[in-house]
Amino acid sequence: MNRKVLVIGSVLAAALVIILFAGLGKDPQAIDSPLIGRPAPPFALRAVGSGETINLEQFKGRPVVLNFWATWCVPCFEEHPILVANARALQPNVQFLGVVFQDNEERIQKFLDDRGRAYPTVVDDAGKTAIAYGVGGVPETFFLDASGTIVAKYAGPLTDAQLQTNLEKAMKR
Amino acid sequence: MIAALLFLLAVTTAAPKGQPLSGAALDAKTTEVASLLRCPVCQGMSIADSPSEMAVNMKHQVNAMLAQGYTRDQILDYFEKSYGQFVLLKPKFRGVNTLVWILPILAIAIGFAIVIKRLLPAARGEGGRRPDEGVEVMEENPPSPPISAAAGSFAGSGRSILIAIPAALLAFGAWYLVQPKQTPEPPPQAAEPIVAVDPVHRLEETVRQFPDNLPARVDLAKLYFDRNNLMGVFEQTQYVLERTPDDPRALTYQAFVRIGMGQRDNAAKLLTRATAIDPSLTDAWVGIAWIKTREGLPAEAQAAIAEAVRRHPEDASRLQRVYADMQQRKN
Repeated sequence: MNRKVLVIGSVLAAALVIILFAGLGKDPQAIDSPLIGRPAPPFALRAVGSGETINLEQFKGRPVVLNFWATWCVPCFEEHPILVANARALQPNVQFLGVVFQDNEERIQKFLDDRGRAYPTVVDDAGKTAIAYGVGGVPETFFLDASGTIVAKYAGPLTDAQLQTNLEKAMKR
Repeated sequence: MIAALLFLLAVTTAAPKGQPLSGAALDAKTTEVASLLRCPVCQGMSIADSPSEMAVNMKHQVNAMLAQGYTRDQILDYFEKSYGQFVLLKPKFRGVNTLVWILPILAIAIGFAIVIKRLLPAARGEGGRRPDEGVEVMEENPPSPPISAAAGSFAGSGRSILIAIPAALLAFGAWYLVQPKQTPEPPPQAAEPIVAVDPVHRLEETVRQFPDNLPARVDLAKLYFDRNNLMGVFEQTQYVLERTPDDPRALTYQAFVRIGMGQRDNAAKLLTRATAIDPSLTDAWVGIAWIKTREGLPAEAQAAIAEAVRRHPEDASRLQRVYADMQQRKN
């Protein structure tokens, strides 16, 4: 009886340890989104500065890095230079696009003037696009392959390595 | 216009399955559906209860879809497709979630089984000594054949119990799960807040019920700041400043967000304005002292603290400690 309990207990404990250990290896910022593997929700939003309408469809045929951010978001300050540097190096083969929500255009302009711009930024006025993408907080970045399918999502400020790793997934397809 | 159209395409390709709602019915249904969706930027609150901008946007979305005739299930599906099951306050009985429903029942059943199995040998051992069963106590002699039979019969019924209890529990669990679930009632408008203990929840509830209660919003901003929720501070102070641009406390907490964002100049302007409007505002003087410390101007930092002390001598020792702490953190 005791031996049986010991064996069953050990098996359960081992299973628990394996599950926890597997979890430890994961990047907590790499969020499993139900949108991964599905077509990116379409949108057409007003561009900051020019005021022209930018449609996600127009970037089909090349990978897209879609970054949700806001000027009041402190981590967005950290990742902005990384996004700008990568956009300068990789465009036009890869398209970068910023989507700002819960913000105002004047502040966005000031932010971009102060910190540099290398790709279009659009304004999601009522947060509808953010909802369609399941955005919970900023920054969140989606990686789309050339066919417009979401292949990865990253919540939190991106480092150069994380951006490259996720971008590779988008380029592979 | 194009954006709205594209958005509708993104919402769902399925046609609405219900009747378009309007007026009071639309409002009631919006609250009902919103109370089933989790606010992604709050802690365990539904979008019906949360005053955050994200939750308000989501609630507008629910309202718009109901007005177009989408049903509750279609709307929940839409949000689930974007946010995953996390957004549903009541997880569905499928996939890994099944474990959440089944495991507690199973654990109770196993617990019962273990308890009974442990009790059984004891019950079997005492079976021959219970006078109320008409069995004589024969200490030296082994139990007679009728007694052994009785014990065996008890053991048999024990084994049946071992199977019956877990089975009954599982059956109850299954029955419970297949019961049609009642739609939760919308939260009563005038009811006391459910979570009245936590001041943040209490203020969030106040702000939800009375969006233009600006002092409550400023208090909430202060609490959010204490909990390092800069986004919350920003939202609340922004709301207040759009209506009363000279609210000194809102200016102060907005300045704190700016400090967090590295916009020291903006923050300094806001704090100077706040102290000009209300020179007794200790937090604003502390904010100025912090900025001056970071700028390497200790004399000006000390002057700001001295001004706060002059206004609030009862707070002198605390303010001096704050100043000393600032100087340490600078390094």
